[in-house]
Order: sequence, then structure tokens, then C-alpha cells
Amino acid sequence: MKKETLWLPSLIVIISMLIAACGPQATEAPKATEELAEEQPTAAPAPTDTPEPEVVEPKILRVRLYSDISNLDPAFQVSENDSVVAYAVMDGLVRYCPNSYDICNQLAESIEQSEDGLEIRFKLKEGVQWHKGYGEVTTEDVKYSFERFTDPDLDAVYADDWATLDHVEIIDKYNGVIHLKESFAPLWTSTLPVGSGTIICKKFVEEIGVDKFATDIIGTGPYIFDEWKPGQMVILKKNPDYYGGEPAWDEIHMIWIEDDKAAEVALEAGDLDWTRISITSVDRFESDPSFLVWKMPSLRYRWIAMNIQHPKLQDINVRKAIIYAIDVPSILAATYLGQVEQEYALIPPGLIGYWADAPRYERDVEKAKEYMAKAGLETLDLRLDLQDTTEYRTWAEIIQQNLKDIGINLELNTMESSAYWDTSFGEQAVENNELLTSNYSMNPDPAWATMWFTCDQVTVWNTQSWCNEEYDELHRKGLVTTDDAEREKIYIEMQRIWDEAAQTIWITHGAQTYAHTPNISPATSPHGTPHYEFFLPAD
Amino acid sequence: MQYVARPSSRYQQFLNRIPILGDVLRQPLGALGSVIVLVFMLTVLLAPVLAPYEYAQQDIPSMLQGPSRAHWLGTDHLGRDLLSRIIYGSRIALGVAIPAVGIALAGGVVIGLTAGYAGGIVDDVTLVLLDSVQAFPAVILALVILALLGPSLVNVIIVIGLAWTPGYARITRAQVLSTRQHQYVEVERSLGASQKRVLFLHILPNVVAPLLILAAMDLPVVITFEAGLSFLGLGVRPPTPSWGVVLSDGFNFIRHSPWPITWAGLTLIITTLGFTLFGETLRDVLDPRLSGSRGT
Repeated sequence: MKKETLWLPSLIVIISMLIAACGPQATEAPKATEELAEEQPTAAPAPTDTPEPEVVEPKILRVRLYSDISNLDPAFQVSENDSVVAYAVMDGLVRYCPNSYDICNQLAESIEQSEDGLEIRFKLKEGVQWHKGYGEVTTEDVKYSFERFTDPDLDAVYADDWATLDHVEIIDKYNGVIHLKESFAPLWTSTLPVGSGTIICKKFVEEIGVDKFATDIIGTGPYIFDEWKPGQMVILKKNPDYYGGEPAWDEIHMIWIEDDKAAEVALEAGDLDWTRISITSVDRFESDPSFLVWKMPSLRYRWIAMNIQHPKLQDINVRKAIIYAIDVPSILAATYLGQVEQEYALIPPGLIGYWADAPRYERDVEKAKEYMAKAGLETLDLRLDLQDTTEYRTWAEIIQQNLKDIGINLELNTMESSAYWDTSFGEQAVENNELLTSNYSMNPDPAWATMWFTCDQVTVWNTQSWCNEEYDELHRKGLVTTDDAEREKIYIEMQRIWDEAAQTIWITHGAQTYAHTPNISPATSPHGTPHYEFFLPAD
Repeated sequence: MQYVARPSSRYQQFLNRIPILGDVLRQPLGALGSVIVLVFMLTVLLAPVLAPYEYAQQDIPSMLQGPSRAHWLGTDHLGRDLLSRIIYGSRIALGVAIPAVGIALAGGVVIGLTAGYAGGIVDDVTLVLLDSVQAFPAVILALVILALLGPSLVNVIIVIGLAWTPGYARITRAQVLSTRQHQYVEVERSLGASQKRVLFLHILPNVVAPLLILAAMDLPVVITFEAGLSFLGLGVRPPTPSWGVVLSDGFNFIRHSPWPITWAGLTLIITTLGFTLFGETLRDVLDPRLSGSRGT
């Protein structure tokens, strides 16, 4: 066939496809089917003696992880992805009740603190069984779970959550007392009701070892950790022996989808029941009757960290130049379409220690250039490490352009999230990191924000590699001070010291925004961390 | 009936003066393809003159706007002028496609000539290696190599060059096997001509035409492939504007503005269409036996 004659049918096919695409929507099909049904005589059912057994579809909840799991051990969890899995599998003595900051008992039949705050007496529920036949939960497990945080050999990342723990006394199989050396202000806010208050099975952990426990856990919760497909998903299955009654779902599939936009497409395609969505998509999902939107204020803090131990960033003048060069309102406008507030310090509004009068640095290119001159620099090459998501790519491109105006050439090092978490933290990060996009979730206590930036966290979570003894001392004081007004002063002073070091560009606390199908009834903490163990089918 | 020869037009005279290209331009689709390719080449050359704005210049208050007098094609999510980014994107498209196809062509010719002329074990081993490389889908091969080397423009060129080399090697080898059986090659050899003389004076010229056709046909595929890699974040680094990057950015904000994805998509379609029409017509001109057949 000649080329000319091929061209014409191709054109006709393309035009036909376009016409077909503009034709009636598929949603009209049911009507046609109903009409047909009325016109056609109904076929008699085939005679059967024994009815076909009814196949019951398993009830599966499909939710999104925005990164793969890293470490499910309560002493070492890396991100929210770890904690949401662990919450569904493992219980604590107490937990936050669904959708509130009220405390509900879980494994504790009763629990109460002495007036001086140094003793917490508890009684366990009797007969609660560990998953996979590891026997009954006892005070031995409670003692093991809490005291390991203070074990220097374990070197728990969350050791500060039990900073004043002395020991756990075993009275009998079900009764015990937690003894503290000093009163501990965050005990009921960011220790007992959250990850660090989780009870783990001593026999199981000793049997498989701490390393394997990172990705293979058992608990007493409503769901059993059944399978982890690295890079794909986590599958939880119903615990038929759950002491709190029959769990709502047969299975929970936690599917790794890194990018918010991709997850939104998955939700719309019916592959997910619940996902975090970007703030810029809230309007769209709110106007779509097929979905419901779940919005919560966020405690999450987002910032650009400057590694002050890196030779290029050791001079405070360079860091101040960067601070004055970056246009945060533009980042908020482009990334979140202006739907979030700028943050100016670490602790979010509503918590003790919120610094309302924190300094507000506005973009001032001339001032930034002056600081570059003070540092004796005309140009500088820097690298910004970021996770490969729309949010951070948008930040990064604006920052790259902003810094170009003062002679800083910024290389953008985009990483898939697992690579980001593996390489941007830890000992190697102190040498390698330059600039880093970062965000941490937190529990509702200011100490849970300040604890990651002490000197002993420099090789762990302290993204700026910043060490200040006065800050550390105040952090310790804040942990044992129970008077709210006094704590407020302590945490504001800590943020002032932080600010003087010019090591951070604060972006936003943002908001936690989720969309879900109407067939589920979700549950989150008041600051938006999903608790899949409390998710129910909608009425 | 008496036939009177019509004096040929100036255009026809011009076409007669350029042997191969003239034949391409005589075909309507070839002419259309040539015009598109010409416009594309001019865009590449004159990008700094044609682009109304600097491609990385941000204007956040003007983000995600539709076409206007200030921004003919609208703006992206950072308020950057889409026309300027698409114009400069053409440089990346060609800047990747030509060196990548060049690498594949050069590598393929060397491998194909060697295997075809040497024959025996060399030929067998080469064939196995070529089969091994071709067994991988090009995208998978590219993903693996870019994961190892890291994403960058140079690495994209290398990856595409490597992935495309076996195709050129196979065609070269086949042509060599066919040509070396010809009597005039046998005669030349029996007269004591060196291997080098036989290869470069008699065999290589016979291989050039099909390779040029293949290269012309591969250019649009490579342009699309580069856009695909950049769409996946494995191509050029920000703020360099590849068409794939414009598509990717546009995809993320498609609910707010359809313009970035529309213009980048259209540009990609028109460019690949132009190169394809040009390549197919060139093939028909150089090798009429293949006229009308699609694909290589």
C-alpha cells in the first residue's frame, strides 16, 4: 500500500477515536441495561438442587504508605510509615483514644501516677495473648519494653522518651510499678500513649534478635504483621484472638506510593481507600461526591537544614546569606497554592513553647549579598538533598533560583525516599550533608520537637549537626519541669538560641490532608497521624 | 495528440540541484516532514533569539496562567514562560538525540564491520552479546544504567547510545555479509587488496545508506525516549527544560492548568511526526524496495 493511501485511513481512525472520546459517558450504561431488562423476558433460573456456596469477599482496607517501612522497633522507628504499621500490630499500656488526646487504656486494666509523679502503678489485663503463639503478656514484657530504652548497649534512638526512668518493678504476673528518678513532663503526652510506650514480647525479640525485629514484629493488637514486600506493600491480617473484640477488617494492605499526586490517581482509580493528598488537591476532592476529605492541623515541621559542620557552611555569614536569599512566601504560594501559613520557629501553634514573637526573615537580596561579601565569597557551589516528590521539587527549584541571585549555584540531588532516609542521616550525614529538605512529624509535646537537635543527636537526627550545651541543658530542664508556664519559657529560650545559630530556613507546619472513599470511617490522632487499627467500615 | 514539455518551475530546478533531499521534498509528506525538521533546527539554533524570557526565570504570582499576550503559551507552576521552556527544550531534545544516535551509529558500525568481516567465533560471540543487550527492553536497560551512574544529560546520552548500538551493529553486519560475497570484492581480494582497503573502500560505502535511513528513523524515537526518561526524573537536572520535564511538571498540576502538558505534548507529537515523515521519505528515496513498508 502506498504511503499516501495509508495516511487517509490513519486520519479517519484518529478522528473516530476523538469522536468516540467525546461521546456519552460510561455512567449512562446502567440505564440502557435497565431498559433492556424491561423489554426482555426474564430467563428462568436454572434448576439446581444444591445452592452454590456463597463466596464471601474478604474485607480489605487499602491505604497508602508514603515510604517503605524502615524499622518497626518502637525504639528505632524512622518515619510515620513505621509507626502506623506498628500501632496496628502492637499495643501500649495506654494509647490516645481515636480522634482525641484523651487517654484510653489498652493493655492496662488500670494505671495511675503517684502525687509526686515518680511512680506509675499499673495492672495488666489478664489473658491477653501475643500473636503467633508466644503466650500471655506479663509484667516481665512491660519491664523489658521500657528498660531497654535506657540500655546504653541498645542505644535507642528514642532514649529521651524514657530519660528519667529508673526501673520497672514487677509485683506479680499482672501488677507492676514504673519508677522514675525525676518527674517527667512528657510521660503522658509523648511517651506512654505513643511508640515509646509500646509493649513488646521479650521472648520473641530475644529469639529473633533486635536486627530482625526491625522488619518482623508481633504484638497484641488487632492486626498481625503478615507479610512485607519490600518496595511494594505491607499486609496485615486480622488477629482472630484479639482481646478487644473482632477487628473490623480481614486484611489491611499498606501500599507504598511515594508521590502525593500518584497516590491521588490511585485513589481515584479505586486502588486505595485512604491516602494523604496534597493541600493543592483538597478543593478538587471536596467537590467530588465520590470522596470525603479529612483535614487536621499538623504538628509536622518542615525546614531547610544547613549542616553547620560542613566546611562550606561553617561561616555563619554564609548561612545568613542563604536565609535572607530564600523567598519562603513564594515557596508556599507555588507548592501549597498559598493554603498554609509560614512557620517561623520549631514548635507549632497550640503547643507549650510556641514562640509567637519569633524573628521573621524576609527575602532581602542586598542583605544576603552583604553577608556573602562578609564571608569573602562571590560564588559558592552547594548541594541540596531532597526527596523526589512534587512538594520538595517545587521547593528546590525556587531555592535554586533564589540562591542563584546571590552567586550560589545549587545542585539539586533528588532521591527516592528510602535512599534519602538512609543517606541523609547518621554519621555519614555529618560529613556529606550540605543543605537538606526535611520534615519531622511529632507528638504533642514540645520536648518531642527539641529532642532531635541536642548534641547527642548530631549523628542521628540532628540534621544541622548543631551542638549547643545551653540548649541541651534547657532541654533536660524542660523534661522534668511540670509547670506549664515555666516550660513555656524554657522552650521559647531554646528556640531563641537555635535562631541565633542561623542554621535553618523554616517553611511551614502545613496541614494534614487526606481523602478517602465514603465506605470507610477513618481515625487519626488530633494532629493527623492515621490509626488504621481504629478504621471502621462506614455505616 | 501532441505533448508539449512544460518548462520546469524554479522550485523544480532547485530540487533537481539537490539530488537526495530534492527527491524527499518532491513527496508531499516528505516536504511536510522536512519543513517541521527545518523549523525544529532553526528553533534549536535561534533559541536565545526566539525565547521571550530566560527559561528559568520564575514569576510566582503569574504561575499556572493560560496563554496571554505576555506569555503566548502560558506559564508553569513556577510562573516560568512555557514558550521559552519549550524552545530551549528543543536544544535538549536534539542535544541528546544526535550524540546518542551518533554513538550508536559509530559503535554499531565498528562492531558490525568487525563481526561481519571476521566471521567465525568473533561473529558468534558478537551476536550473543548483541542479543543479550537487545533482550533487555531499552527502558529497563536505561533505568538500570542510570540508577548506577546517576541521572544527568551525559549519562542519558550514553545510555541511549548503548541501548541503540545493537540495531546498527546488526544492520552493518548483515550488509557486510551480503556485500563481501559480491564478485567485485572477491576480485579485489584476489588482487591482494588489504583488509582495510576492502572494508573501507568497498564494503563500508554499501552500508552507509541503510544506516543513514535507520538513523533518520531513530531520531524521533530517541527524542521521545529522552522525554520519557526526563518525565521519570532520570534525565536532565532542574532547571534545564527538557520537554519531558515540562510534561512531568505539567502532569503534577494538570488539574490547575492543562497548558504545560498540552503544549509540551503537542510539540513532542509534531516533532516526532516531522522526523518520522522525513525519515520514511528518505528511506523510500534511498531504497525504493522498502517503499510503503512500515517499521524497521
